Amino acid sequence: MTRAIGPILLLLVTAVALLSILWTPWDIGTIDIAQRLQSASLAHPLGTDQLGRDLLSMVMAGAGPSLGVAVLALGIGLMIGTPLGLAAAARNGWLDEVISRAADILFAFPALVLAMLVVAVLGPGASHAALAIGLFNIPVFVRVTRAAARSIWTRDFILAARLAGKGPWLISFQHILPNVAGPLITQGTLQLSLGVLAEAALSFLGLGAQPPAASWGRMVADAQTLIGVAPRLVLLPGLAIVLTVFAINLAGEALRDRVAPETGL
Amino acid sequence: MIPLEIEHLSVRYGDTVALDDVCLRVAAGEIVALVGPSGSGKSTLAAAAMDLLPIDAIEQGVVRIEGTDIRTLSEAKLEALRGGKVGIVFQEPATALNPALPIGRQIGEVLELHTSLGRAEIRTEVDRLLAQVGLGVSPKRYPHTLSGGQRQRVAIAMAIAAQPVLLLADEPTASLDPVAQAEIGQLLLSLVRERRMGLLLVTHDLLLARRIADRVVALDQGRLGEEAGLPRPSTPREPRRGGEALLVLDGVTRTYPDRHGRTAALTDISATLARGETLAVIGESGSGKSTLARLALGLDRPDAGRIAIGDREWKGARGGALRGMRRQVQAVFQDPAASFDPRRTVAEIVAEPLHLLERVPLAERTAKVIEALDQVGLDADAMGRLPQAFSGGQRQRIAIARALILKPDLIVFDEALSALDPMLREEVTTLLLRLQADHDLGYFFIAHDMDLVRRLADRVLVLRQGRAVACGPVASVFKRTDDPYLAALVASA
Repeated sequence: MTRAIGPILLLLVTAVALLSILWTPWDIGTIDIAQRLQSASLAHPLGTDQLGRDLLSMVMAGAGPSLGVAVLALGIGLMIGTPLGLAAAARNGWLDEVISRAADILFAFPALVLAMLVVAVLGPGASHAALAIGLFNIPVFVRVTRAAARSIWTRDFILAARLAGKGPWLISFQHILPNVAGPLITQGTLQLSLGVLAEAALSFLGLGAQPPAASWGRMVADAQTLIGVAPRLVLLPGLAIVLTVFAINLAGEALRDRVAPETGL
Repeated sequence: MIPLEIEHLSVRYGDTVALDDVCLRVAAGEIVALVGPSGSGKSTLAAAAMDLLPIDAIEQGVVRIEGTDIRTLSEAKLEALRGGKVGIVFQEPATALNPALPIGRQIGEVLELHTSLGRAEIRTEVDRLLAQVGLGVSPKRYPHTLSGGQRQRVAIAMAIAAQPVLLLADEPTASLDPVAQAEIGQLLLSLVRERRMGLLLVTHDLLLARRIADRVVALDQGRLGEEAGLPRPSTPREPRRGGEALLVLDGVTRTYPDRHGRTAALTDISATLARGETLAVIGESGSGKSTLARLALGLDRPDAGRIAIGDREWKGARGGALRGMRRQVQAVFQDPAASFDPRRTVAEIVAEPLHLLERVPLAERTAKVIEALDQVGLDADAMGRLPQAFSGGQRQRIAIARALILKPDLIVFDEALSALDPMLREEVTTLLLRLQADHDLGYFFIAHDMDLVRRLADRVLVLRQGRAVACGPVASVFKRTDDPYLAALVASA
């Protein structure tokens, strides 16, 4: 049962995110100052915010950008970082040097600060936030893939594959990639939850999804002066962030146990 | 006081009986060798002697160390016992030592825990222990700077530091090369006699057992049996004169870059292997055996010299020619656990070399896999399973099936039988001899086990520090006594 909590929770968050695209109890674009800061009622189960928008609808709509940006950023990191890591491990010498040093350079910058810079240059918005966060996922996956792949390359079954006439690329995809799946999943879930947090941080600074789109990070930022008056305006989006990160981590663990039980990383 | 008495000990894991009513005594100054195939309960017995069985084990019977029933002792007293009155030597010295601490510190720690010596006394005691185990190196050295044999000496020094009455050695020589194996055997023997300890030697090396033990007891499926019938050294087989040359090594030299420029792993090695013939390669660890195997397989290129399969050289071979050469040469590796991609089924593993052929239709592929498995005595229903589901001996059969599927002319065995216990080794040896006779295969056979060399090989190449010490028919090379290294290698088994 405990195994299932993570995946169920994550499915729930995802379902809410998808649902909010089509339907929310109230329209989050409508501002009604007369209705502002109402406490919980039948019409507004979580009350309303400082502009009179339904808080439940806001929290629901915030799930979309949050997960979307993190998933997109993870995809960028995996699609670019993993092949580079495999290549670096397969070919010692200059290619390994170039890839590894490039990853080191990207690593040398504080990720969030540079992500802010990237978004500041490209302009704020969810897709640019995803690009900026994804950029910093790349070196992470390069390193994890390279390190895990190198240890696989020393195994005898790789010699057997070479004796079967397979070249480095074929070996990388047929034998190395499936065997580094465990560490990649572990790192992937970590990057996904870091992505959710990074998206929240960027939107908190106003660099993420722009109004009228809802975003948990911006909800916290907008309501921070009201924390004494209506703490739920800050706490509920905050709780949503925590819950999502928690769900991702649990689900990742369950996934890893299924796909690569022997790694146990 | 008798160091170890085991009376009517039975151990079960759930429904599996690991030990069944075992009685065993080890007297002071006595060496009792405990032999038996993998899974016979040897390790369970050793663990029971220290009350270190896993919690799910159900135990009956009595284990006494110097007359004290160890199950009446508190956990604190047991901890004092382990490493104190009972010293332990493990199989793998590389993992038994802490890589981050100098060896002197590690031996000193045992003394700190189990004796009341002061700092200065500990230092002199450590020096004395190192001398006693015949290790003339500084206590400030780190484990990774020592050889396997030297590390095992450190582990032995730690085990005897607290003056134990009983020493438990679990396969203490299994991971060492033949020269180091013989030396460690001698060391254990002299220490036991000198210190009047009891030694329970768990091993599957019957020759070691015969050489140093006073008594040999055999465990089979948890039951203590008759003393095992010890094998006599085999007589070398008649060298057969093979036909055409299959593998030609001519002045092969391979160097690797290091801090001081380049070191030579192999220098000027020449040898030939004919069809249907077995060439054994022996030598201590680091003598270049595995490097030579990789060169012969075309996985690595020499800096100088010529390596040819038949009349074609690896050097410069590309495309179709290279694939043609690869089809002729296959390999079986040492560790059956690392030889297979853990995510591939047996069918996929055995079929892998078919990659060297033009597209093979599925039906034909399956037929070839079944045929290869059949040749090594495995059923076709093994195909869908993962290699982890098989025992060590069966895995090595799968590895041989993979090497056979292309019907190669030459198979390279890189210590392919060392990980197997004697019974399985016997089975696989018989299998290899049969396959060789059936298919006129050439074997390039790297071995630690001299008895195996006598049985399998026609000719032997002896390596030391990358140079050929001797090369020729097994009988005549093994008879030579003029070279002390060669004599030590041959005497080691």
